[in-house]
Amino acid sequence: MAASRHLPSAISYLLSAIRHTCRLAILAERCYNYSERRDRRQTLNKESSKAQTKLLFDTSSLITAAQFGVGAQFLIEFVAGYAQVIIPEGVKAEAVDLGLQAGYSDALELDRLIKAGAITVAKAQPADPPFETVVAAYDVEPGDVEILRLCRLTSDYDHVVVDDRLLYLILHRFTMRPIFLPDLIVVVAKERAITEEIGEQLLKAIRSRYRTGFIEHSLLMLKGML
Amino acid sequence: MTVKIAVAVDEKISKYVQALARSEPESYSDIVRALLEEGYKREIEKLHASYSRGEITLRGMARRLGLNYRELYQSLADKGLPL
Repeated sequence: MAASRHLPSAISYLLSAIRHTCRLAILAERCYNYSERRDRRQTLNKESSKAQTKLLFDTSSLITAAQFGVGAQFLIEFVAGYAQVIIPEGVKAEAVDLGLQAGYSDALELDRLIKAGAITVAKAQPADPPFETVVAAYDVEPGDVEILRLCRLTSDYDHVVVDDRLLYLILHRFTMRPIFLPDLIVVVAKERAITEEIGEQLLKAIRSRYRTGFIEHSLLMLKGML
Repeated sequence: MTVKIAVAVDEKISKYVQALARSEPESYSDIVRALLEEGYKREIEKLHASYSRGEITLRGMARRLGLNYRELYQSLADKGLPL
């Protein structure tokens, strides 16, 4: 009798517990879905950022990026993780083929990245006649012409990474978005593909290859002071 | 790696080298070699200055020195000359 008196409240308690459990389950599922969606979104952002960012490289910047790094990782590996790297055939011949012949370890690293698909080698065909006329007037070397042609023919790249002074100037006059390697490190750090600390270490690592002032300038840009 | 070359030089240069060889412990060929190396070093510095002023590209500098791009890159690094 006593048990039957307590039955309605027991059922009510049981129903309340079930509802509470259900709410918890729904909440947990929502949290899981959110977390999964966030992870998926982050992966997509990372992938799309890499897919969207396209960098062309000249030889000296490429060699420097493959010779210097932080810890066990070379600068070119950080860059290849951030963007699609494209080089003309002439740059491959200068940086990789000649480097392998001479036994440079950075050439081995570059060769590995090409074989892994992290660096793409592109053919730089002659471009439109007015462009070719102007380039011929500059009287630069065939390898320089290849860089200029590749920029002309690749419409959707973000920057051409170049440390050569005259080539930088010509690329700038063609509004081809040249960028010095130290400043690329600043961009990669600003895009949060590497930390500011890693960026600083990379800039200090390549210091010996640059004229005084270049690295100091990039370091202040990295810290947002310029 | 070293290679042997035979060159004809102006008589004044030859007399200068002979005078140096008499006063210095180095041999005639050591002095000629040192002069050539000094001239080469100055040529690299001159071309590097030209590159730094934006008058020629690194590839242009390599061609003028008879080097390939890799050799020039390494040569500049060895001499502490910036890109």
